[in-house]
Parts: sequence; structure tokens; C-alpha cells
Amino acid sequence: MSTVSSLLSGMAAVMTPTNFIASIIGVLIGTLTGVLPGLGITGALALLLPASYGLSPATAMIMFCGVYYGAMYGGSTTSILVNIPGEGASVVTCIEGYEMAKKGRAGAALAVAAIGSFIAGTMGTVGLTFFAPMLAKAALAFGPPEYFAIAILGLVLLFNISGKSPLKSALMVMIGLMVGTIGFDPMTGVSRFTMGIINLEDGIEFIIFTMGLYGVGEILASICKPEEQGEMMKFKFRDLYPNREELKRSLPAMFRGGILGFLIGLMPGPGMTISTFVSYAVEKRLSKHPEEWGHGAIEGVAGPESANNAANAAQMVPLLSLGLPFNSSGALLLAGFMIHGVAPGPMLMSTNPDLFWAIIASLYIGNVLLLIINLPLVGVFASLLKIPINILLPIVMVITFTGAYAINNSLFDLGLLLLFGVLGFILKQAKFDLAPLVIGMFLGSTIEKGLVQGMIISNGSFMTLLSRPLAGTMLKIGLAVLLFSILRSIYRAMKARKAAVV
Amino acid sequence: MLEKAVSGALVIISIAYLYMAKGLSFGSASQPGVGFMPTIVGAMAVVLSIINFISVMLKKDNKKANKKDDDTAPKMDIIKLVKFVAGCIVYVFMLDYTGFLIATFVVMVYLLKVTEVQGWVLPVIVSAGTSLGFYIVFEKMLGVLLP
Amino acid sequence: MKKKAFVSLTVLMLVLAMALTGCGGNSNSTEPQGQDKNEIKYPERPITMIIPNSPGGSTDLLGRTVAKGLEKYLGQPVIVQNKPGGSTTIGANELMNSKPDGYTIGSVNTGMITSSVFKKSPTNYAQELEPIALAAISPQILAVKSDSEWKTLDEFIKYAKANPGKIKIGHTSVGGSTHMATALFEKTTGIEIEDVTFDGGSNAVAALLGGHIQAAMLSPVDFKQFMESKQVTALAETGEERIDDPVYKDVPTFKELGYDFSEILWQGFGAPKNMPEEVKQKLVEAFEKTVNDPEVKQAIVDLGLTPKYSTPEEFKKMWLETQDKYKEVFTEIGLIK
Repeated sequence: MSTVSSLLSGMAAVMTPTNFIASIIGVLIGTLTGVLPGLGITGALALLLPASYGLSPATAMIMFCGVYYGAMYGGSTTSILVNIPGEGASVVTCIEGYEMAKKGRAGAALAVAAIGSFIAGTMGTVGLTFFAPMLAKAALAFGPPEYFAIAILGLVLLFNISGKSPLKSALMVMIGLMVGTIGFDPMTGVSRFTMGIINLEDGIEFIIFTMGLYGVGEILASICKPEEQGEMMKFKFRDLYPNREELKRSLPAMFRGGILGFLIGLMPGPGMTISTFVSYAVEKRLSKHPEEWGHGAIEGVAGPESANNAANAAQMVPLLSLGLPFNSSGALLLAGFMIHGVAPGPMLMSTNPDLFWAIIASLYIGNVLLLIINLPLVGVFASLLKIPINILLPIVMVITFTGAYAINNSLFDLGLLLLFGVLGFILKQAKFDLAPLVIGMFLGSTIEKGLVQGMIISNGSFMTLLSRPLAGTMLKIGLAVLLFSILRSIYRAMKARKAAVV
Repeated sequence: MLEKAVSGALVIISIAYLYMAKGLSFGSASQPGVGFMPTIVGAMAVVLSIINFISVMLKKDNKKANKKDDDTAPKMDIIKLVKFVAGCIVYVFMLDYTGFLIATFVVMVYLLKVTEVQGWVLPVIVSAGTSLGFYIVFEKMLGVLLP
Repeated sequence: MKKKAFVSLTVLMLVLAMALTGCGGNSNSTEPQGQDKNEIKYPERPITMIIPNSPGGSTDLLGRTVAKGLEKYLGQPVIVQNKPGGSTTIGANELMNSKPDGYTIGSVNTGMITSSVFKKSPTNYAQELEPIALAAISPQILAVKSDSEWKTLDEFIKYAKANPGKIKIGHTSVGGSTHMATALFEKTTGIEIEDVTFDGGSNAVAALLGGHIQAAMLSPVDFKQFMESKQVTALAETGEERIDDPVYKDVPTFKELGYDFSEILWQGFGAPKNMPEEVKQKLVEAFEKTVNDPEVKQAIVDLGLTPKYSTPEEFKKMWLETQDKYKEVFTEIGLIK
């Protein structure tokens, strides 16, 4: 009861003209940076931090939260339209989303992503409002060994969801992990596999890797397919939005994605990304149209996109109730809070309840604003695909380069981008899946840190690691799933051989 | 063919990686060193890549089916690809010398000609629009310092 | 077909031509400014500040705060440019190799020592750069969970001595200040502990609160709100004197307790070497005013750091001393081979 009334007074605080405009600005900038490949929340906050000095803490916080939510909304756009995932959490969206765009259903995919984001984002915020302190305590039970276990479990699930050949997926994951170890070792500062190149010492930027393999690789693939060049996307305006059938199929996926995303998102580190492929795996299993998967199944967009927004809200739980950011954008948000002299955490709710509730309320309002802004934008973005492809390709190429440069102001990164583009192109032609490669690299440092820290903490015994209730359970589940899928693929291979012999 | 080549290359890469990882200190289980995880990952990669290579090489019985695929698959315009990539390489170097606006404009015109856009007016307008547009969005609105 | 090849060739030529002229144009435009005789009008255009870390971290925020303050005293905009990578090496090298005309300055910090100490052929940034001013310092704090069995440093050390290897201490950044503080603590007290590296103070705090590690050596800002909410207890801090902040005023220094070591993380500013003397003087003055500006001071305090100005000479001395200490201690514990 008191929560509801506090929330209402928070709403009132956000609805003052200044704060409301701040929220709109935050949401707009967030969307813009989310849409532009490469930039993301880092770029947005770098822009806003100096500009926010003159604002009152509440106004500034509301704006930052708008950016935080907005960037997550925008992330799906480039995945769907041009196959460029802006962050780990939208890699899975590419799989079905880009296929839908190829079939002229980009608008439907974008709209479903926006609606799912809204529904799940709101669900997540409700969870945050009512259960934050309780959930935050539970999140602390996760130490380095648990991070390691989550990441391993995530990888095992990944073998199963993507691609036709679990063997190739597993190999790609290993290669991804290898790429992830390039640069300074997180524990000892020794540089590894850099071949003496100083720019490689901090490791390869994940976004550069992803944008190169996916985005640039895709551009290169389209360039050398002359037949398809004449074709351009033709669709009527009415087709921009999802039809009744598509909505009916997506709605349950959105709710499932919302719940999954929120729960998995409470786990620190890569929880957000893992939630997207768990959601994808669940939807694939539950789907009544298994033949569509890999060719643009709408649930494959609705589920993961909902999951990552709910997870995004869930990651605010430890930030607001413990003052501990569980992901890098949360860390930047925390920095934003700090320079305004606001320390989010256990004390905030009691020492400055007005501010606390204004922030929570702004999350609800931000979600509504994002839906209002994003739905009309769907039409605009989807119409971009009407540009003839031979004009569109160079434009996408330049925007990818510009976005990539903006991450570190580094020309070296652009060289890497191009290199990965060529590699992505070759791998794709050789029928290797890119998703496991990218996710492997993404989880690499979490796995390594979790493993090394976990081994120190459990005095060097893997059995001690396994005896921890949470980590042990997750690792055992992972092992079971792995064994099951190996046995299944052997069984299938034998069956196929038998069939071939007969 | 390409699949086989890539599978072979992956074996070589994995072995090279494992070899390099051996040069790093493995540490012990209670104090894992720098080479701890790379050695584990490298070893697994070597095993997996070899299994993959063998299974790809053994796929002979499917060859007929593959051939069919190859015939129907659109032919690749490799020359165009090379021209496009070359343009991008030039772009990276040009950014350093001429700054964002000029480099983007010139390379855009070139890339648009590579992708066979007819005439000159359209490419020039599109290039000018793109370079100026991105310049305004990134540099002016988002405060990114472009080269 | 031939026509097309011709067209693309022409365009390529054009590209090259433009590249060359662009090149020439650039160098032409910058020359006259550098060659102004005697009279140096400085600054007459915006100044770039290179920050060798990513946006959002404490170095970045401090840099931006000081950049904003500098504008007031230099009368020109100061543009912040993040050049992260190679744990500050990329930014430091960029600063080192830029034109010493006072239009490129940069933030420098203890991280540069770490990155240079580990190299086989280290760059001595204290010598290769021109130190301009110290801006802020911060000690490190050793803290445990409040509901643990240790209330004082002595109890903690006693336990550690009785149970060698059982205590795990979390710190951030290998070869960085928190690591140094942990190493000095271990060395001075003669206890045997395991240290665990975390990426970022908050991850270490989370592990501490979750009971996964027994203690953590982190900066005051990482612990501040957990001190306020009484979730963690600070056992001691590594500074020369106690911290002003009311939350920490009861926390003794290691020196007070009889353990003779100190470790201070510092953040300052520098420029490329061989600047014209007048330009350097102007910069030094502007920095002195900025760092002592009450508003800037408050902003630095809000970042969880202690504002502290010192002259270029004192700053350089401190930089060199830290460098020697790092080399010595990290060689001793076997980190530098």
C-alpha cells in the first residue's frame, strides 16, 4: 500500500514540466544512441554528463534512466534491419529478425520488438518496485564461482539452440573464447597473444568484433550477389505493422520472455545476454511452427527482445538497492549518479525517498514514452529498406565505420572491423555459425575471471567448486544437457548412417 | 571446398594458439596462472577442430547434393568484393589524413560506383548527404570527436 | 565493362589526389601558428585534453571536472578526448607524441606507472612527459563485512597468522594501487593471504557482501555508502593521515597502528615535453587556480577523491618515487620478472 502511494507521489514528481522534458530528452538520446551501431549507453552518457552539471539531481537522474532504457529499446533496430547487433543482448535478435526483414516483414519485427520491450520492461519495473530489496540480497549469493557456472550453462544452452551442427557451434565457441583471451590477462596484467601489437593489449572490443563479423560480413556478402541487387524491398504501408496472426503468436512469447529475462537478469554480469538465448531456446521448443525457425519466426524476435528489456530492469535491482552495478552500462549509470552526489544503495530509500521514488516512477514513464516514440519510428526505419540496396550498402558501411570509430576514437579499431568483416564473410560462406563465435567471445572474460577467482576462493579444488549449492547445481545441469545433446547427436548420426546404408 | 579449407585453417589456428598458450605460465589449481584458461580452451579447440575437420573431409557421400547447391547458388562477384574492400581500406587511411568529411564523401562516391549506381548526380548527392548527416549527428549532437 | 573499370580507376585517382592535397593543406594551416615569434598568444584556440581511460570512470570524471574548471581560467574551451587502451599506454603515447604547443594536454595517473613497469622496455612517462599539476589523491581502505568476527586490524591479522592462506582479499587492477596496498599489507605484516583480482570496485564489494571473500582493499569511494549503512567495517587506511570525510574520520591509518607503509593513488595532469616556457607557465598557473577553485574542489570531493594541488616539481618527484616503489615491490613479490 505504502509502496503504491510512494510510487504515485514519485509519478507526480516526474510529471513536472522540467522533469518530464528531461525524461523525453533522455529517452530520445537513448533511442538514437541505441539505434546507431557502436555508440550505446557509453556514448550517450559521455554526451550528457557535462551537460547535466547544471540540473538538479532528480532531473539529471530521470534523464540518465531514460537513456538507460532507451538504449536498450534501440538496440534491436540495426539487428533486424541490417544484421548488425549493437550489443551482446541483441545478437539473438539477428537470427530471426534479419530473416524477417529479408522477407519484407521488418516492420512487423520492429513493432513486435517495441511492444515486447514495453510489456517486458514494465513487468521488470514492477518486479523492481515491489521486490527489489529482497531480490538484491539473493543476488549477493552469486560469487565468482557462480558467474563461471552461469556462463558455462549459457554456453551449453547455446550449443543446442543455434545452427545445425552442435560440433561446429562448440568449435566456434572455443574460437570465440580464444579471441576473448587476446590482450591483458585480467588477473596478472600479462599481455597474451598480442603479437606485440600495443592496440591489442586491452583486448578486442566486443562491439567491433560483432559489428565486423555480422554487419560488415553481411554487407560484403550482399555486395557480391549480383542477382539480388536489382531487387528492392517492396511493401505497402499497411504491411509495416504486424498482422493479427503475428501478434497472437508473439504475445505469449513476450510474457514468457519478460519473466525469464527478469529472473535471469538478476544474475550479475552476462545475465542479460544469457536471458535472450534462453528465451530463444524456450520459444523454439514451444513453437507450433518449428519449420519457420531460422527463416524468420516472429517468436524468435518477440521473446529475446522482451527478455533483454526485462533483464535490463532487473539489473537496476542491485544498482538501486545495493549500489552495485552488475553490468557495464549500470556502472556508467552509477557514475552518472555519483557526480550528482547521489549514492544509490541501501541508504537511498531511507535518506532520500522522494528521489528514489521519482527514479522508479521515471522508469515506468520512460517505458510508456519509448513505446509512443518507437511505434511511429517503426514505419520510418522499415521504409529505409526501400532504398535500393546498392545505395543502402555503402551508407550502412559508412555508418558502421563511424559508429565503430566513436567507441574508442581509434582508427586501429576500424582496421579490425574490416578484418573481422572479411572473416565473417568467409566463415559464413563456409557454413559456420557466427552467433556461437560472438557469444563465446562475449562470455570469455566472465568465464575466465569466474574460473580463476573461483579456483582461488575454493582453494584450488574443483570439487569444492561443485559443492557450492548454486554453482554446483548449475554446472551439473549444464553437464547433463551437454551429455544429453552429445548422445543425441551420436544417435542421430548412427540413424542417418543406417538410413544411408539401407 | 571452402568449408574444408576453413576447417583446415581452424585446426592450424587452434594448434598455434595452444602452442602459444603453452608459453604462458599455467600456475596451479589454487593459484591459476595466465595460461590456465588458454591452455584448457586451446586443448579443447584442437580436439574439436580435428573432429570437425575429419567429419568435413568424410562428407564425400553428400558431395552430389552439395554440387547441386553450388550450381543453384548465385555466382559471386569477387572482383566487386575486392574493389569494395579496397575502398574501405583506403577509407581508414584517408580518415587519418583528410578528416572525416572529405574522406567519407570521396569514399562514398567510390563505393556507390562500385555497387553500380548509375550516373554521377545521385552518388554525389547521397555521399554529400551521408557524410554531412553523420558528421552533424555524431560530432555535433553526440559530441564524438571524429577524425 | 571497360568503361566501369575506367570510372572506378578515375575515382581512385581522385581519392589519392584529394588525400595528398588534404595532407598538404593540413600542415600548411598549422605552421604559422607554431612559428609566431617571441610574442606567444596562448591560448587562442580550443585545447584538447586526452584522457587515457574510458568515459565514466573516475579518471574520466575528474578530467572532465578539471577541464570545465580550466575553461574559466584559460578563456578557451577544453575538449575532452578519451583515448583508452593498453591500460593508459595508448593515451599516454598519444600525449607524448603530440605537438608541445600547449594545445594538447592530458590526464596522467598511477595507471601509467603500472603499464610502464610491466613492459620489457618500459617507457618512463615521468621523464617523457611534462608533469603540470597534481589534482587529487586517494588512499586505499582495508575493510571487512560488519558481521564478520573481526572488529579491529589486530584481530584480523591474528586470525590470518593462525590460518595461513585462508583469508582472500579482493582488490582491483593487477599492478595498480589497490594491488600495491594489498602487497604492502601482506609484506609488512608477514601474513599469508590469497589475493583475488576483480574488475571494478563494485564487483569486489559484491563478493565481500556475499561472503565470497573475507576482506577487500579498495578506494574510499567504493566503500562509502556501505560504511554509511554499516554493512562493512573499515579496519585501516593506507594514507599518511586520516581522511577528512566524516564517514572515515575514525578509521586509523596503518602507520598509526604501527605498520609502516603507505600507498596513495594520485591523479594529475601533464603535457608533452619541450613546451615554450611561457606556455607552460600559463598552464601551470591555470591548473593551480583550477584545482584550488572551491567549486572544483567540491566536485572532486563528490567523486570520492581528496583534492590536492602540488607544483610541477613536487609532482614529478612524487611520480618518480611512486615509480621506484612499484618496481621494487612488484619485483619482490614476483609480479615483475
